[in-house]
Amino acid sequence: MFRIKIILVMLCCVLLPLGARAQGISVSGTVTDKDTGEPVEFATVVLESSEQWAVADAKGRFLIKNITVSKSVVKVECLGYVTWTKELSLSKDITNLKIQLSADNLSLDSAVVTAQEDANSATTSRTIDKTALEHVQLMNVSDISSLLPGGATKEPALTSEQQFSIRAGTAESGNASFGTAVEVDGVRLSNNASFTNNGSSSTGGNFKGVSTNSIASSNVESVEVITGVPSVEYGDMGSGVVKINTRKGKTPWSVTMSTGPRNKQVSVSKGFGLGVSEEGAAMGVLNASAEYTRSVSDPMSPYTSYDRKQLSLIYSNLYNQGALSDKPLRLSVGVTGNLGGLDNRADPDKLTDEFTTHRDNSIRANISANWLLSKSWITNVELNASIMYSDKLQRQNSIYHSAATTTSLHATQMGYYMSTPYVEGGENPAVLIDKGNRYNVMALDDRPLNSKVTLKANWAKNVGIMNSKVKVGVDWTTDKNFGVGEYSEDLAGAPTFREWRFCDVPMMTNLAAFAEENLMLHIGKDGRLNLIAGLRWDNTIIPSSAYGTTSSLSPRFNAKYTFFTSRTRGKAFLSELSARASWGVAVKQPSFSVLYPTPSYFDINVFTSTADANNVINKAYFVMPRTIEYNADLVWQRNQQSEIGLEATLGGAKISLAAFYNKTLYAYDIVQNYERFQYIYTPVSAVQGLPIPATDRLYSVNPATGAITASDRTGARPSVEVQGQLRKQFISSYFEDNDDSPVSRYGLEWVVDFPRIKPINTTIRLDGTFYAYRSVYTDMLAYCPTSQTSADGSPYRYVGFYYGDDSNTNGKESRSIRTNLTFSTNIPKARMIISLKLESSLLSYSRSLSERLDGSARSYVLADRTDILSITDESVYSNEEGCYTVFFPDTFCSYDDPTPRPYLETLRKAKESDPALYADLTKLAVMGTTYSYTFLKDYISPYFSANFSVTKEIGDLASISFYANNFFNNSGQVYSTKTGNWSSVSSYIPRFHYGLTLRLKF
Amino acid sequence: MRKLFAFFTATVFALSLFSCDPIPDPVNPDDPNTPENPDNPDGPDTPGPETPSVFDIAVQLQFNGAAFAQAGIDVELVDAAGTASYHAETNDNGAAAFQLLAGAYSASATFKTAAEGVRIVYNGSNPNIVVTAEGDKQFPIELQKVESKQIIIKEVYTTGCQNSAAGAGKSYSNDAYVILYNNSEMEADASNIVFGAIAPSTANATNKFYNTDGVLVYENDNWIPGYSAFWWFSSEVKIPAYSQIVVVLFGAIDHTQTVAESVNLSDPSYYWMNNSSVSAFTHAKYSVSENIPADHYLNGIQINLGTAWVVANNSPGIYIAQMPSSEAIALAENKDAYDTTQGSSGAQAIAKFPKANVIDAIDVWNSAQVAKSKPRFSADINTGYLVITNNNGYSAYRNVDKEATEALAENKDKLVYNYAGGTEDIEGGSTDTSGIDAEASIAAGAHIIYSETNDSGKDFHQRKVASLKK
Repeated sequence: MFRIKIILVMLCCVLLPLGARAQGISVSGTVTDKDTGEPVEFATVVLESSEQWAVADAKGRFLIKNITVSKSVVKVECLGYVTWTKELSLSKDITNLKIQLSADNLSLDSAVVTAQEDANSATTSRTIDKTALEHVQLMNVSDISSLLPGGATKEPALTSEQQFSIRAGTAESGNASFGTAVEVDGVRLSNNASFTNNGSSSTGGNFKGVSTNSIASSNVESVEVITGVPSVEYGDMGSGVVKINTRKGKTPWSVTMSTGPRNKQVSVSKGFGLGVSEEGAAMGVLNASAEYTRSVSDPMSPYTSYDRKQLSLIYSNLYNQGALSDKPLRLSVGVTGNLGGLDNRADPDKLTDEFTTHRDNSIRANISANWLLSKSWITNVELNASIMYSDKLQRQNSIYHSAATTTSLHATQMGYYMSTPYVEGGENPAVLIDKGNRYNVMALDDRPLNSKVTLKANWAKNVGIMNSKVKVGVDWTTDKNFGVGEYSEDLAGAPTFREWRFCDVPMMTNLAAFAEENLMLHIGKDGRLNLIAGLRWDNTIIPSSAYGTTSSLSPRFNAKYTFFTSRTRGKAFLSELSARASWGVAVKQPSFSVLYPTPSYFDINVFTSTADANNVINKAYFVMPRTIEYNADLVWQRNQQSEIGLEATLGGAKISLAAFYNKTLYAYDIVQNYERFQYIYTPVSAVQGLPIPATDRLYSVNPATGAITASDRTGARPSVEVQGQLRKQFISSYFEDNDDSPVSRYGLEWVVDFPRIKPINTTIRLDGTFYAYRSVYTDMLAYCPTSQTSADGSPYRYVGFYYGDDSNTNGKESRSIRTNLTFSTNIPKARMIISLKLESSLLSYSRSLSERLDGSARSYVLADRTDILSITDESVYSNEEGCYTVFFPDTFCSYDDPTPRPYLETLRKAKESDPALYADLTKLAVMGTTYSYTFLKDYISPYFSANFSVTKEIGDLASISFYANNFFNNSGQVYSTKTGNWSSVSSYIPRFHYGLTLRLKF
Repeated sequence: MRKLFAFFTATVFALSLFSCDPIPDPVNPDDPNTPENPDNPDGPDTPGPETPSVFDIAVQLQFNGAAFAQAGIDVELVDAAGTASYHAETNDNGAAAFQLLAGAYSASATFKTAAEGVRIVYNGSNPNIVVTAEGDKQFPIELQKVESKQIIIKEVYTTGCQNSAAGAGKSYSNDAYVILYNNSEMEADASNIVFGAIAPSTANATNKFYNTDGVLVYENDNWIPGYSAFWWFSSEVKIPAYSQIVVVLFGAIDHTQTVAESVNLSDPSYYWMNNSSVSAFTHAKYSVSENIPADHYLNGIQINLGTAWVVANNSPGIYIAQMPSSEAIALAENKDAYDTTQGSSGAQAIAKFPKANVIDAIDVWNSAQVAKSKPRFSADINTGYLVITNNNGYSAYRNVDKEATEALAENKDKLVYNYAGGTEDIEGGSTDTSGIDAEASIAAGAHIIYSETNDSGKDFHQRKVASLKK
């Protein structure tokens, strides 16, 4: 019933604007090169209001028929040219519209090297174009984060995985990077099918977003970053969409060569015009690009390297002949393959044959068809289908040494196992491995496959002052992993590991439907109200699993009111003003590493024999598979985004402000539970001196009881069953859970583009961000210090239940103000642009928290740090000099009595009457660190870094760019109010680094 | 031997007297009171053919003014010329009886014993014994008590060695051992020896026991940190005079089967710290050869978190103490009495080990971290430190007390000099400046007395090859 309601709502969105009729207006004209007058073939002409479009032919001619709106911005784009826009009144046919495109190069006054705000968007969206990308000399597309407001430059490196993380800091809860959507030419890069994107498999940690290392950076034409509330067509995300567009269109040969201390890159690309068929139809364009990039972790020893070898082919064409003459179809088919990864085999400094390689191979293919129907009831139909397959095989060759024989465990069933020699083809649950040295290659085979098909339709209409654009669509995604998980290339000598076949995990399918109404009301001469309302319905299906089917709804709203623009206000002091507000929900699907924690095993060494003359030692283990509780109640992590924004042009200065408040709910989290169990332990002394000579002994263990028997391989002496001891203890198990504690992030972003200083042709941009984060973990978690022993020497027998984990702190708050000042001087006559960017951190504050959701105390201040019961009423935050603290579990239980009991009360009583219990319970208390400053406010003093970049074009043939980041080589110190220590600023700013790029076009 | 020599001398001298001078009444040569060298110008007058007067003299041993009631102590009297000496053993009351001619004598007595690993020597003398017909016939010897260590740490090998078979640069360190040595001429009882480790386990780690004045918080207190675990022998252990026992910390197996640079620690005489006596000590480096009998296993009790006894291979700081195992267990179990200067967590809080029980300690620093390292023992337990380099098979080996060793008469012609086992030729290295090659000398039958100055820097040197490496 609920689903039916959703569908009805969507239908209403679609049907409401019906009633308007097509006007039948057409626009035609030519697109030519402003300098040469040559036609610009493949230029795309788009009417933004009606979403109708045309592509210029070989003579630059274009025609758009059946236009359904009375007014629209016309946008003309072509690779290598500056985008041309103009608002047209469409009350009658327009013929012979002459559009002249300027070549996009540094001879233009308008060249910019910063991210540009999208003035027409109802949410915060910024675009970084080719000029800016070339100027910063991308190696990894995530480096463009430095161009966003308050962005900090990083040293370009590919030897560690890089991710986008929008409106979030580092080391924060809420899996921010996991929730950032990244698309390349409409292909969503996803690691949902990956098993290796969690920070730490056993302890949870942040789930990481998709790596951007394998995206070729040289072929990127532009990057759009939507930091606000995006359209409902974007699903499976938390905060932020990054859309990477590669070059498509007819281009000359382009060769790029980049070098820096850690990075080298060479690339070649060309957009081939395939001519015209015998029937006169265009054969389309084939864009081909190849890139080789090599990055090393240490320029002093450039052998641990990441390689990226990428080949990309994109075919695009327009079909507008014959039956399609009135309904042109634009088709784009692309395929991109990448070979590469991390490898340290070549390092001559290595003294052994150990190595580590991480493959980062992938192939992605996509097809995109946009059919312009221009009907009264439908304008466009768009079909996008993509598939991406990655091979992330990790191999590690390690040397293992043991002076005596060792035992490797591969058993997956509960029971006692005695080590036995490896048997080819056998089960080998516990392998006795020879003494000495051996190499073994352990591999982790992770091969995720993601596919997606999206079908959407647009319908644009004018109803009086109202322009309506309706978008409805469905998309279908599948995630599957074909990897076999962890394995050894030589099982006979492998260390302990368990088979965990990723390929056996069922496919995850997500079926989504979305509908969105985008209304534009023209009010007065220049006023506009843009209202966007959308709803997305995701239905995730995981057959043959505890999760079953999970549905979620993502409503999103955007409103923007443009009070006036410079078109009517001319050069008034306040010439442009608009305000906007957004609210929306985004739901992030889990990845396989969220849904299926790696099975782990509790392996207890219950017997170790003495070594015989050949150092053969038999070991017996009790293997207990840790229970994985597939949490059927798991809900998908969601992010509530709120944003208000303001754009104004004040005295020629363009000002953009955006305030946001994001709340992450139900963040994915792996937590642990404890189970009781007992086993039989047999000490080594029990077999020392047995009548059977050590070299003749054969040990065996009863798989059920754990009893050890020594028998004589010669048969001369009777077998001896050895007496063991019963041991009881807790063991932990893991399961996936949702974090009940919301994670809050809020902030303010500002961008001020001051008017160009014409005498020196210099623009100044001041951008920055105030960012605040707060998270308090409030889930009740169990913890047992299993490595401790009880007072009587037996394994520890108590479990504590802690509010917000068993850590001394359960949260963090931080605030920061970062601001960047960028000077860009453009010298069109010299075709050169120089920029100087001063990055600064003006406020960096953080504080560890220990509190309950209502703000009450969770940790106690100790009057005497040697007495854990000397707790006071003082707040851990109140003492500015610092304090020593203790944190207790709320309740605890024992092995023999699983009923939770109040901890503190029992501890106090035990101190008086039960020293053994008191000694044991004190082990559950979590003492603060030896430093008293844990909960002090930490303000890091301001610090700065300066970047310099220059790009010079040498005619149309070549251009050269050079950058020097942190070129003052700031090596000062910053002060921490928390520790009272000065430390090197190098932890906060990138090292001095530089790079040079040469581009040739012919 | 001495009696035989005295008898021979007396006989020869008596024969010579017979041949030239009137002889006094012969004195029974078997009588211990018989002058061994009566040709003494300062001796009692010899009135011609008259029989000289012999007086009964008693020498009473005293300690702190009271009779030292110990039978069997040899008391020696030497005449004023130093040419004749007389011996008698004390009776149950500590008195020795002599028959002496009148004259001046000097008396001395020594009594050596050992208790709880401590060597105790009672020494005393009385140079003013004048025997006259009318004078005193009873003389005291006031004894002085001198204590010294009987059981000492002779060698610590934890630094590991190269493992060239595994590849250049690979090292191996599961072969750690400690040698305890009986530095006395009496059998030592090691049954109550307890092994402890100091905190922090690494000498260059941040040492939170230093207060703001740069003084260890336990410098003037009666305890030192007990970290990680205590170990004790599970059976009676006796160490013969000038002998040693080997205690293996981790792998009591023949490591040389796979690591040529390592040592064979599977000898049946060796002892082993049995990890299975501590439930959390499950580290794979623990192993024991069948050769080593179960009564050579040491038992342990854990103090801090960990899967093995935490003794840094690059900077061990360990001590031995005389303490019944029950007391060590009580110390470890009494978490209430733990010191939390380092912190209160299971990894940081330490047991307070009484200084009074400690009989020897060694503080070793990593040569690469000397600047960051600080002494971990209070000065009354150990001063100074030995610098050692990791992974080269070097050990911390005790220096020889040259004077004391050479003073042992039985060492005559058995000591081997020109010691070349030190590492003075490498940076940060050291050697035994006594020049005595202790191991070679022991092999030649010598008894070695090792240096004990409570200064690890003076008492130990970095030995090029661990002594057990054959």
